[in-house]
Amino acid sequence: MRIRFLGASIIALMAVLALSSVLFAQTRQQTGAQKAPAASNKPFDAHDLTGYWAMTNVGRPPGGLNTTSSNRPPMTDWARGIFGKTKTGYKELSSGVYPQRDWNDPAQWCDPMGFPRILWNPTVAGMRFAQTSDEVIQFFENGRVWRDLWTDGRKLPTGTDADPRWFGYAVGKWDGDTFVVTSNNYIDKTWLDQYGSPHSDQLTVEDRYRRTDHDHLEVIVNILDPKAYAATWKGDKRIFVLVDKPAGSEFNDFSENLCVWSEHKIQPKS
Amino acid sequence: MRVVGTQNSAQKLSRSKSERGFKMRNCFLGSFFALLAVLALAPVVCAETTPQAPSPKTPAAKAQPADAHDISGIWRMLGPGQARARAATVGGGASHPTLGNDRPPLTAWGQATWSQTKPSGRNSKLAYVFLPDQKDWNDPLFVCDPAGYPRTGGGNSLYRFVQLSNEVAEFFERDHVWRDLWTDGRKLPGNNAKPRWYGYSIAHWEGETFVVESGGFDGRTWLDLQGSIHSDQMRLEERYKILDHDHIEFSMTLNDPKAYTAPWVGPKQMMERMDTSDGVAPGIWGKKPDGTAYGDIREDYCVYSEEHSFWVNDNPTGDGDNFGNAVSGAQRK
Repeated sequence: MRIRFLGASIIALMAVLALSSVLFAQTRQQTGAQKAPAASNKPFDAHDLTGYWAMTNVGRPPGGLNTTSSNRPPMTDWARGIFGKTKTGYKELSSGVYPQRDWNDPAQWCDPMGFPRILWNPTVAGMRFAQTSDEVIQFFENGRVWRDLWTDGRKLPTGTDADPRWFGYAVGKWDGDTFVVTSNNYIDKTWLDQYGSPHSDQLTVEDRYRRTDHDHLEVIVNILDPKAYAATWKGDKRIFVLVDKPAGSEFNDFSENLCVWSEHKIQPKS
Repeated sequence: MRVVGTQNSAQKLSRSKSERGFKMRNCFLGSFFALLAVLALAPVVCAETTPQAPSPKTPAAKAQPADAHDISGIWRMLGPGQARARAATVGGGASHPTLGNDRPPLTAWGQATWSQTKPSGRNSKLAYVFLPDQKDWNDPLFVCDPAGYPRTGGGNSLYRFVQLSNEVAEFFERDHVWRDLWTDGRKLPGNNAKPRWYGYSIAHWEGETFVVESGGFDGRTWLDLQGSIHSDQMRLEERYKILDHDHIEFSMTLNDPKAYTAPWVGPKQMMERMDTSDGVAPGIWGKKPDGTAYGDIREDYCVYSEEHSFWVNDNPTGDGDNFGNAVSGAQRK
């Protein structure tokens, strides 16, 4: 970004710092594991995920990573080629630590986060489920985006006809008391996390949701991408807690948490 | 007018699947430039001489009975006066302003704000100025800032409504965002609420009309391609009157005393039901057991890195532009 005037430089610096504080927010919040939640005795329907759910750090180690787990499998040669070009400021799982001016995380210029990264970036934010007769709708506070998790019997698109999407195509089904979501046809430009973990257009995500009691939800996100990884990237178990309303809510709903390019004006880097 | 990048972008469409992300962006921009071409080639379209669009005639109702209090489904907004779609949905190009051309006079504040707009859309009445060189335009959509409401629903965009127990959720193809239209009795927040790009909305039924009231908008968005402005005091009233199973009559009224001297009353427009978005590749979800299509709407994102490369050059590093000049996106503004 070419900025010629001192004033503009200061403004740009402030914008970068403001954005970086957002990008780092998760790291701050995830230091220190929380205690296991007390089980709720309230009656509940195990096949009803409706409500606002806030992610917790229960069961995760101090400084827990903002990705599905630390057990990332070995990358293929193809993925290593992609990963080697990523530049972030994080030590863990990244290809190296770079000064902020060199970061090329597409989130910096407000490109869509995509799934599953939207779960943990730019901040630990909530999700909400609503259920209808033909789908479960998954709303995310981050980016004010949603996913349709179709339960009406349709099959995932195969072949090459489906335009790839930032949030993919998803179908869901109940496996006992676990709601299993399978999704594919993702745009391969997104990172899986802030560390630059790449994926290909062959990515399939399996996310599993199990309501353990009225107030708690276990979530596991598994990543399958034979073009990018030598094995399935198995996700840690995350605990979400049911909340009456999202934290910081002004209207008993999700606040808007949108990335606005003109507030930061960071130009894309390759 | 210089129109750049379309050929390169079109060539990219034929490449591998991994590059088909360009297709979505190109779909949005393609429709946008198609619109520009139409506007540029057409005789000067003088809004002053364009009569108020007549109310659409009620189309022949299909056999299915309508649930008077159910607007679930995928809907396409037709242009004022249209009773049937003239073309496939083309995304958020906003070919016509949702509120129509009969904009009331601006206040002094509104006039000063409007005078800063440099839109790409040429309309002799709504646009403050038309600058032929795209480098002069300052439409916030060109840097992929949020479109906000009502612009995200402008033109012939698609709407999908899902009725839940306490709200009607409204989903948009553009930028894959949604609005909550709360029906649970809550009241709109006061003036101290943090402004939102998509506002705060509540809704109720008046007979067979679903009425949505909204406020608390972020004042930075434009209402249309022509650069119509609004303030943070904007209030909207939308009315969705169910005509039959497949048709809704839509109208919108904008009240913004900070920006306009009178309410801006939009024309009545028809919405028609669709089985699925015509922006979703046919057949990808298969067929239901009864032979009908599974409903779905597409993602239609404005992606800054792609937009940047389109406006500046095809090299995302930003060195140079399509005109052979050294220029960055920031300097373009």
